[in-house]
Amino acid sequence: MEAESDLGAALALLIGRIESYPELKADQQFLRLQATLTEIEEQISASRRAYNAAVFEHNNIVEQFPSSMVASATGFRTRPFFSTDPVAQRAPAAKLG
Amino acid sequence: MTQTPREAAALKSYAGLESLAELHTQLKPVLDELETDRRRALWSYWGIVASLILATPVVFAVFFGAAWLPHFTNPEATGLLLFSGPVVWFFTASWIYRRKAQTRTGNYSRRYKEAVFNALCRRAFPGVQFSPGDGIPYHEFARTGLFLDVPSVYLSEDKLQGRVGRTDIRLAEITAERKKLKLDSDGLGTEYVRIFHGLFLIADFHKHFRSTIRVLPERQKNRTFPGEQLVHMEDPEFEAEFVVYGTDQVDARYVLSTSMLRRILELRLRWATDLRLAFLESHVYLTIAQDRNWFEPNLYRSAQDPHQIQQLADQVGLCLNLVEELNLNTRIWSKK
Repeated sequence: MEAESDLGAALALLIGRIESYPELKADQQFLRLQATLTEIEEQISASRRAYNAAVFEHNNIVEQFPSSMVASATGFRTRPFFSTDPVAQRAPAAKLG
Repeated sequence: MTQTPREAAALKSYAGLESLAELHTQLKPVLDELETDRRRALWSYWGIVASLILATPVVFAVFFGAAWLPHFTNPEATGLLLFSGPVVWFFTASWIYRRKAQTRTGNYSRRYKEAVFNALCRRAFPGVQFSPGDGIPYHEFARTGLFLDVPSVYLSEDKLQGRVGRTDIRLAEITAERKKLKLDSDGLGTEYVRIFHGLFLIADFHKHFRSTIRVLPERQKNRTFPGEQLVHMEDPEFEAEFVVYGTDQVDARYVLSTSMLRRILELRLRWATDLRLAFLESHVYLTIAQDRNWFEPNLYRSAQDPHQIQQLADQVGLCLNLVEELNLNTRIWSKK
């Protein structure tokens, strides 16, 4: 979660800096970088959603009777959801062209 | 050749459709010819239907009269003639109807489509080609696995193919039916049960993915696909309408982003029909069930009627707009 937070902060800083360099927005290399970043963000977001869906299912089984009895006997505990601040959950706006 | 005041008024009622008005003017000689064809087809169609209706009592009278001729002394032979006569006539009349009446109207429809649709696509939807006789092959429909039943009849026609914005598409009308045995008071017979009738769209998807994802109506949640799992989405409205199967939980969520879930839901609300999607090899396959026949000129409407061209343009536009509705032209990912 710390890494996610750092990455989010770094990306926000990067996007902020780009605003000051209009010529950079038209650069092909940069456009490719931006496309890759968008894709990575979407992949991370998909992994986060998949993880949280699995946690949701896991927690339901751990908390619901009768599976809760087996869970407590075998040491299974509920797990926390992966959460970041709402701004970081959105993919950075990639306005091309 | 000029437009009649009614035609001109009809065209004016559509804002910003100068190009269609121009198209109508340009096609006037062809439309006039088509109108003659249509009248001929209509007369021919009703002529055949009326002849069959009028011939029915005559044919029955002949059979019944023959059955009671003095030389028919055997009651079994009389019964056989009374039974087989109407049956033979029913099949003969059906054959004549299909072979003659439907062919005449079909010929008009084909000529209209060839003349009007291609001109329409060239003008209003450049980059898209309409082929009334072509369709999408069965293997492409079958590989989606969206429908459980294997069809005994598969028909596909009216293919639209080309590029919409940055997206390559193919769209066609499809009918898939399954032969089913039925047992009723007349004995064992067969009937055709509809599996799917409607529009089938194949479009290049804007993201790369390797897995298989299927989005089916919620009532299909008991289906199983080898190697695929149920993928629960976090959108309760979406979950109430659809069920998702996929070979990879993360990939499924990458393809079905939260905005894509909303788009599919909106599509479902707008079309208010059975909607299914499959995502395979970086392509999206979409089926939209429809009762009516698409891209068909109305036989009871003048071929010169500009509203008809407008309606056909609307139908093509509605189909091509699916690309925008699914946001497939946004290419901000590494796939171009």
